[in-house]
Amino acid sequence: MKAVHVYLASFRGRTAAVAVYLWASGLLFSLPAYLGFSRLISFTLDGSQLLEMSDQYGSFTVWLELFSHAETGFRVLLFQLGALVLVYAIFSLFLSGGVYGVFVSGDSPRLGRFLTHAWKNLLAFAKLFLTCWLLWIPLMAISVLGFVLLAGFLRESGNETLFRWLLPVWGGVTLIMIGYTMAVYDFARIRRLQEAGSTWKSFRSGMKFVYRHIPRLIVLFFFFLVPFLLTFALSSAFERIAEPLPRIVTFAGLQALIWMRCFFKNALMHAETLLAREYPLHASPELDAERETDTI
Amino acid sequence: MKKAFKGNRISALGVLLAFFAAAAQSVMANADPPPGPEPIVEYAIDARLLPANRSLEATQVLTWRNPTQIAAKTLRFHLYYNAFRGPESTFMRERGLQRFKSRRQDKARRYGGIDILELSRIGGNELTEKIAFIAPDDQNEKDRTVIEIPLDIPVAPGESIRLRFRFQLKIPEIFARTGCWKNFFFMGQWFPKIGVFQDDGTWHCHQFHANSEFFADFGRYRVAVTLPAEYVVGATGNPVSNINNADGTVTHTFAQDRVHDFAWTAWPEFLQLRRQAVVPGRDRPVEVVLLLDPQHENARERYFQSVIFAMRFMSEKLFPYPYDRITVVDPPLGAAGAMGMEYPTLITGGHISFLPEGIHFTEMVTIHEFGHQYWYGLVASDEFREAWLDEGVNTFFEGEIMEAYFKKAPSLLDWFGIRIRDTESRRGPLKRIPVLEPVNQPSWHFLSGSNYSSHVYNRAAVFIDTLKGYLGKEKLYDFFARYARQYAWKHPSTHDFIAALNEVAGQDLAWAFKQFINGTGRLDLAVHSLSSQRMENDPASYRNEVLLVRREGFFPADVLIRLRNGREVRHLWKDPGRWKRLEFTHESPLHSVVIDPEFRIPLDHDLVNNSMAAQPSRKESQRAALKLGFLFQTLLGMLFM
Repeated sequence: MKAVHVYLASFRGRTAAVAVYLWASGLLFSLPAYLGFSRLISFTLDGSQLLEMSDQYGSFTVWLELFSHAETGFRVLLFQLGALVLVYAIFSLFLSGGVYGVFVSGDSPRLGRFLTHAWKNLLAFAKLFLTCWLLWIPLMAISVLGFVLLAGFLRESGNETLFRWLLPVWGGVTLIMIGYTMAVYDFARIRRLQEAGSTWKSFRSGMKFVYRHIPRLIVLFFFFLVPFLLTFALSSAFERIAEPLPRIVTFAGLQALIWMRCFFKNALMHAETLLAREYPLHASPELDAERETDTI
Repeated sequence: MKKAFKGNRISALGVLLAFFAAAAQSVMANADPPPGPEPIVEYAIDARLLPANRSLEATQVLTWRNPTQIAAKTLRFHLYYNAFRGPESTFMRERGLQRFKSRRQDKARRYGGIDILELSRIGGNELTEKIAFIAPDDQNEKDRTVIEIPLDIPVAPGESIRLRFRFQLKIPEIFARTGCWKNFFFMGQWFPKIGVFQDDGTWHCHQFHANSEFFADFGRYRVAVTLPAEYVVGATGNPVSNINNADGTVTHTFAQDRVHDFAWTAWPEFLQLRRQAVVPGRDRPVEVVLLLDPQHENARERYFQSVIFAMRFMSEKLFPYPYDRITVVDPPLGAAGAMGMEYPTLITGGHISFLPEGIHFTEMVTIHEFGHQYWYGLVASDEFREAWLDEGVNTFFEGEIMEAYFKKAPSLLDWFGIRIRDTESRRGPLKRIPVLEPVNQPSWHFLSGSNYSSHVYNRAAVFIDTLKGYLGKEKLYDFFARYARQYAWKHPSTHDFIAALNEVAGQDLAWAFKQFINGTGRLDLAVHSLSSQRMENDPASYRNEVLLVRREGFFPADVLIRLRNGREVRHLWKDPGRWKRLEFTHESPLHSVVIDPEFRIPLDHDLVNNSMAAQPSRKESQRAALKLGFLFQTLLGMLFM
């Protein structure tokens, strides 16, 4: 029940407030995409009615025409956006410092405090990020190797029936490994803030914590994933019905959905910190054992 | 007439009945299959498959009739199987598979080939020693796919010659149509096959090229295949007998008249399923035999329904499918090289069980290959020299059948919001491959395999699609029905195609073929500019001007001019000049101009410049940008850790 309890406890105003920062930073980084695509498409069309003709041409043909007509422009823009993705990946280290900083300290979620925490934790989190590659590299290797073996098996044996079974198994194992390593990364950061130990110690502590609380974490991740994935279904449904709506309404609706995703992600992060607080590192093994008797 | 009807109701009824009977007879006459040809070749083959050795031993008796007015002093044969003999064959060289040698040289079994052990003229002399390998197309001495045999006594016009062959095959691992994978065998182009003796006294007998397919005379085939009893066998034609032999083998005999090739397959694992298909214009149903990989049990209906739909479509639009049987082979994934190929009365499909159902690959391949029963099997154009006549025409029909089969749903792909129609998919390759060569040229003259497929399949099909828009669907289908009936069991050329089309169209369409089939023309029609200016002498009116340009090529096009008050003006732009200025005075200024508003000219290379608005609205472009931007923002959100 502990996992459910902390998850529900994470639905707080502070979670929503921090989600606004995540959403805003995502939007800020996405503005070049919105503006870039808008300018490029307008420039390419230059008064053409191509998009209005999609009933006759077919939507695939319309996009094909658009991309091939301005191939260089799209290549350049996509290259720039690719670079932006890399920058954002690094920037997300900064953001996560703010999120965990606010949640672990119980500090006010005001922007100033958020940025202070983000800045203060940046270096430590960057070190942890690099350390976690010790897990991610073998994970990727195992996953890629698994797929290569699976493809080789299919090629040699031609056993599609078994392949159809093995493919989800491979996918499931990969997902579990991703989930495990992401949880280690999360709890290593939380421990780093709780204990202020070395990077290596935090990393090991994170691993240990995840190992000890696997059932709880599964429940937590499940509670996160269900509404999170639901937002994707909602957004595709919204995109379909938004056709006749003014663009600003469509844009606002989509942004609300993005904010919801940020909220669910934050709720997970908040719940993780609450869980970590429930089971501090210095707690005695006896206490741990006692707590373990709780049902999840 | 009217009076006569009133005066004698019985006779009127009789006339009416006679009229309907005549009409029905005429419809049935159109629906009847055209008469079959006199056989030029007659093959009787007795083959024994040795699966453990991956080899085959066979004897073949060939009767060939000289259909020309010139005596044949030599004979030429295709030994297609020798394309797989080694890395230096023309086929391997053109495929860029010489690297195959270094990667696979330790595995000799990857290669195969055919050896003629004995050849003699029945009632005549021994010819084995006279066999000479020739390479008429590229002089490649290492290529052994064509042989020539000089004759002491020529075959006079109208006379026949009978030859007896004894040959053996080493069966390669399958990667291009023919060969084996484990104990699955697909045997195509596997026997010594005589070339086509032409009216000018020369042989049409080309080497096996990477891009080319086949060409042969119609005839009669009777083939007996002996192999272990556990094998399930499928072949061109109808089964004649199955004889159990004392050594645990079974001899399966198949026979078929009026075909120009023979292929067969054998695999112990096949599920053999049968269904009777009622086909318009036929007295008795067609037997559809599906040889299915047991792992593809869930594709059973997809195969049956698509092949029967295609058969009915073609029977209705052209003429009834004339054979009693069609065999659909579903190769296992390991033998993917055998997927998607056509032989008379036998086709190979393609099913990949872990692909989502929204990817209509199975239907597309089945429908395409069935279409070849007409465009190749019956209307047997020259696949070596004029491949567009079968592949292009058949790709066009594939699109037509797929659209009809899936009705309003996207016919090729409908998966995760990606929706593509079969006909749409052809523009992609066309946009990527520059038009450096004509569609109509020998297959091995193309710059590359992708150029070949882009031109011969896609460009030709899009051209025919454009003709459909120009002539109208009914007229084009009328043409295809007449053309198919006129040239069933014959070998029409591009010239014949154009002549038949001109007749139905009632106009000379050479200008279109000259540009897009025999030439390297590309089509690009564009709206260059439009303007509306208030008249000085009449402020209530506007002087509207539209400038249209032909950037490349020529094709008549409809132009739709929309005025701001909602009225529409149509103009048929058929002047051959490079530009056309349309000027008119109207109470309303221009709103927009669209060339080819019904999209009847899919051959137009660039659709962006086909339209222009007087006052461009950014609404749609912003909506498109919104979609892409949201996609990017979602991606960023996923990256946050």
